[in-house]
Amino acid sequence: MKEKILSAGIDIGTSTTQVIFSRFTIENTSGEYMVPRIEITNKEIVYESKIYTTPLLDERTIDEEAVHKIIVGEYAAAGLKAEDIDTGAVIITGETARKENARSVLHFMSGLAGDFVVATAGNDLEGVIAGRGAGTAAMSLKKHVVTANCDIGGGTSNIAVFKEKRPVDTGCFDIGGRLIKLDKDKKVLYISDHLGKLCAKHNINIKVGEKIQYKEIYKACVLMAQVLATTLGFKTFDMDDLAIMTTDHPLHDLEEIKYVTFSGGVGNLIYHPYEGTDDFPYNDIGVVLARAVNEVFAPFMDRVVEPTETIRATVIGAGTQTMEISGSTIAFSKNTKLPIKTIPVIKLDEEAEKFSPSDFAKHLAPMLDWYNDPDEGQELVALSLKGANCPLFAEIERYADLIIAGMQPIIKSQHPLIVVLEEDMGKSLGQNLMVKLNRSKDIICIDSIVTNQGDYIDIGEPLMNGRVLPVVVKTLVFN
Amino acid sequence: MVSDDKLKEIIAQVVGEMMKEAPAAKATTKACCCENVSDDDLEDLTAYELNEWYQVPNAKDEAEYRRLKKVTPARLGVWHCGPREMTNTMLRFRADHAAAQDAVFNEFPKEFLEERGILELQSRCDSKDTYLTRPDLGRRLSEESAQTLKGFYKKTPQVVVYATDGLSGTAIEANYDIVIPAIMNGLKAHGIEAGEPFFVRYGRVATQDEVSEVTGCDVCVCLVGERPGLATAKSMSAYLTYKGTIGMSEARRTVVSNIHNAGTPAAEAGAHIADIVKLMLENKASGTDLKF
Repeated sequence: MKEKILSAGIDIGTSTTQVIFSRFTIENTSGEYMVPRIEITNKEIVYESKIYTTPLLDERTIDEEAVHKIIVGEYAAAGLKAEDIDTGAVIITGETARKENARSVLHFMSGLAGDFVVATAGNDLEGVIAGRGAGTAAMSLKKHVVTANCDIGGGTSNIAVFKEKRPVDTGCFDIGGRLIKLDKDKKVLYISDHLGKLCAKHNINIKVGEKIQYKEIYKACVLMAQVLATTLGFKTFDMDDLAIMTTDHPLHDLEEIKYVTFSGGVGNLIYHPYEGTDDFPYNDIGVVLARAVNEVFAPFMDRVVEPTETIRATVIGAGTQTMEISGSTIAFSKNTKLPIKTIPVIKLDEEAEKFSPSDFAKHLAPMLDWYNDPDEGQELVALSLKGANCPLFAEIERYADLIIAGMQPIIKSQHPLIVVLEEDMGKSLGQNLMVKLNRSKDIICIDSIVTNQGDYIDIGEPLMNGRVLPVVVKTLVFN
Repeated sequence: MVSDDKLKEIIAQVVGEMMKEAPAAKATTKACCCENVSDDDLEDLTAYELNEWYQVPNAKDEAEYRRLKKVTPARLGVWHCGPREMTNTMLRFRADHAAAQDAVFNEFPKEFLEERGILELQSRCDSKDTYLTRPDLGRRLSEESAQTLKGFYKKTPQVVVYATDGLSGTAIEANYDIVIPAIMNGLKAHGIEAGEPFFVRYGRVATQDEVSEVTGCDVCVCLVGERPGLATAKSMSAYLTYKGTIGMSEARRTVVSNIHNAGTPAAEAGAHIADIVKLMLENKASGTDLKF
């Protein structure tokens, strides 16, 4: 049995807006005489939009109507309706995301892009999505080395570090091609606050209203490229510059990065330099920034690799890399209403899984308390556990006892009890929970999904005759 | 025909003559300390997981080779001596073969059943040899066992779950304590009642059809040891039927195979089996008639 689902990827960036549609094939790859193993066996991009310039009303506001028109037009061009879409993601990226109307744009977008869509603008997740779309995550698995993708867009550079395909670190900087915008006479229309500070510190003379000086711009771009080289651990330049240009946090210097890839509009120009004579063909500094990156990274060229996608990395990541499916032997109560979106994940360290039920509950209590609003009561949270490999049945029962002791506030609430496991034990544990809770509590117990403390997850409507649940893990922080 | 004793005598004579002819070889043997070696001093070659057993010297990329080995129980990267495998590889191969032989030929231990208070029934076979040579007898319960089973349940159970040694008692020993409670728990979660499990010695899959007829159950779940291979002797299958009858078509059986640690974990398999039982009761069908 095969099932096909349609996924939409929509990326509204600082400089460009793109849409893709892809079709996933999901099938049982195990023999009919075996326990099923349901996997996504194929992902095929069925439609790619052209790359639009993101319509803005002014520096701070996305032109909602114009964006809406673009997306609607692309659905029509692809011959698809909103209800055809099963999954996917809308990503509002870069500086645009911090603008006031991002929320309302996301609102009309989720209506347009099917029922199960991530609508997010977090820098960490955005970097991870771009790194997956660029193929950098896959490269880390294939070559068994630590890789990083640096997605340089208009407003920000999002870096994600991957090890064996998993994101292990992220960082975000206010470095991009549109930090300076020019009018048609090459006069500076706009310079971002961060870059303005950096220029002031280094006595670089760039002023709004004045004609642009190539030399000055180039100096500023080299400084920004040096910030990237510093955070990636290739060579340490000025730590103060790094601090000035940091959005939320730089990389945490956890892993030595072997290869780096660049994606995004500027990333594309790094591998395929602009060949015209104009230094500012897009009335911004993208071309110059790409040149500066090439110069700063020249000594490390053997560690700079071209990714499979550059300018389309984010939209392809959004459309094809956000959804995963749970293990094939899971348990969930049939009357649980799905999808459930943006469920915060609580995870204790693995040691806690060996505790007695009462100790486990003691450790879990303060974390559950964060989600206990004095007015609204206990909010929905999911408990994430490593679980046991090939457990004895006694081990299943022990885990059930831990969960029941620890998740009392959820069990007493009207929320379903959601457990997310890494190891393959979801169905037996879920059934045991149902028995121990007298079959009176809605339960979702899924496995083969890795989540960390601080992640959020979306759980979608069942696929493959209710065998599996689609899951989107939204990684927001790395500590 | 030469008798066994005669044969041994001849071999002893021939070997004795060879030893006389090859004094050099004898000297080498003596130089090595092969006498009075206790088992504790010898490396247990069966202690390694096959997919972690790696002995390639100076590999270009050992980490990658080990990753490759992780996904297969095949004997990769065990190295060689000239054109042959290493002695330890040969011995491990023979040890695995012996484990497979043991799984087939050893009697299922009575203590296992006694400790757990499991009722023991038997097919019409009176020994392992009969079991292996007379499949027809293995498919039926002995008359005495059929009588016992008839009185075993006070009321007709909707579902009967039982185990039989089949071609690997080892598989039942390895999985019983996990899979049985997992199935029972799963059935309970679905609100389905099942009878107390029992054990059939020298049983084949089709014994379950007589079990179905005798007990009058709707669904019969037979856990049976699979024919062992060199990778594992602990693999078990579950065969499920809806209202099975003696002599029915094999197509009416639903099977869940490869239940072992490197296949499907027993607890998850048990939970999955419980789901299939529920589906069978809802659809009143099994085997190829059951679509899911």
